Amino acid sequence: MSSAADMTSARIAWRGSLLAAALNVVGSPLEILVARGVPDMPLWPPLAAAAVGLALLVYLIAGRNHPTRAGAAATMLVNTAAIVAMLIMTNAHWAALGAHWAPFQANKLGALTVGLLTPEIAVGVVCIGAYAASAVVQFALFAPALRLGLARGEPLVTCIFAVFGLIILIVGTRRYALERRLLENQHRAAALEELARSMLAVRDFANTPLQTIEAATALAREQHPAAATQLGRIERALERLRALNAILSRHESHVQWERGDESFDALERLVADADRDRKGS
Amino acid sequence: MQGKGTVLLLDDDADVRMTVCELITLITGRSCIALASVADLQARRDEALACTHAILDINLGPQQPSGVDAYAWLKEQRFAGAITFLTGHAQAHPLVARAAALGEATVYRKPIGVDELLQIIGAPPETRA
Repeated sequence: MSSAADMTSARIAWRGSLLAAALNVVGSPLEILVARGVPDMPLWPPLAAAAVGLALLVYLIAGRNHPTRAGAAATMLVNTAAIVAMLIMTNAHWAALGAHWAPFQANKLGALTVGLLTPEIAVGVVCIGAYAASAVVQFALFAPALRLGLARGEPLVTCIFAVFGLIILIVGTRRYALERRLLENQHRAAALEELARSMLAVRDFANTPLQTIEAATALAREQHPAAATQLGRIERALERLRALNAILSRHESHVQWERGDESFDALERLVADADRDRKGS
Repeated sequence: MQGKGTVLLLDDDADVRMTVCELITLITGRSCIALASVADLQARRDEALACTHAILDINLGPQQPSGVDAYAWLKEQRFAGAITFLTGHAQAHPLVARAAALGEATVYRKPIGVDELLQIIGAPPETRA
């Protein structure tokens, strides 16, 4: 994969992790609100999960201009781990409600959300697996009497949601691949236009001195017929430069002229381009 | 009308102004007034309006009034001669497009040769001085 393609993948993955962290920051405290009537429900697990989400969000926002796939994967995994840990603790209290509890709703939501947000299949599989496996294990560890009192079908229903999450994840990778190609094409088009602008700036900058050489050669030919041989060489060189000029003119179709381009200084543009390239390298 | 067939050349590059004007004078025997900016053009209004041909460089430098502005001023002053634009920029460049859209003036691309120059000022090659 080219470095530009890799950067595009990293940007998409980073954006997914950033959204997941933001959802954690907003969503985890809602658990406190929803669980107001649940006996002995501790406040700290949702707050701790949200705090982890907030720390990740700050890190992801700070690093958004230099995203990496590894960084995006690590933050997605840590964020999921924080949420799963919170759910294990809060689900234990929710389970006390027996048949009044709709089991593992947040686990199901988490599995579907990961499928939507991450473009990395391996990361998605681990995260969805964590949501589903934690529900399965926790359900298995409930006392038999408690299990019997809960809604029917669990933990199979949670596993079905996890399978749907995996399907969304796999289908989503095609969408992300399309988005990646679109972004890469946009970057390529922008780079091509920049190159075309530089080429045209070279040509524009050269045209006025060429006009001087053209006129001065014609003048010298009139004034100094004896120098015809030497002037012929200059004229042939000019012809070659005209041919180069015609080749550079082919770049005209790649440039979209913008406001402020009306009276630009070609030399200034070339110096600015060179400075930008030097800083970028 | 000052000096029959006097040519006005407006270009921000001093070397182009001097060599092209010198060339016009040498090969056609006509006078040539070389000016660098729209401000110079306005300052020498009477001499400029007496010319029979005006060759206007379109880009007269960053943040400076352009050859298109010079064209508008000449028209406003009822300049009776022929006007031609000269440019080193792309046809799609906003200023060049504006100049081309005026219709009345032809746009030539730098560098122009002697034959094109003679054609612009209405002096076919066989009329060389």
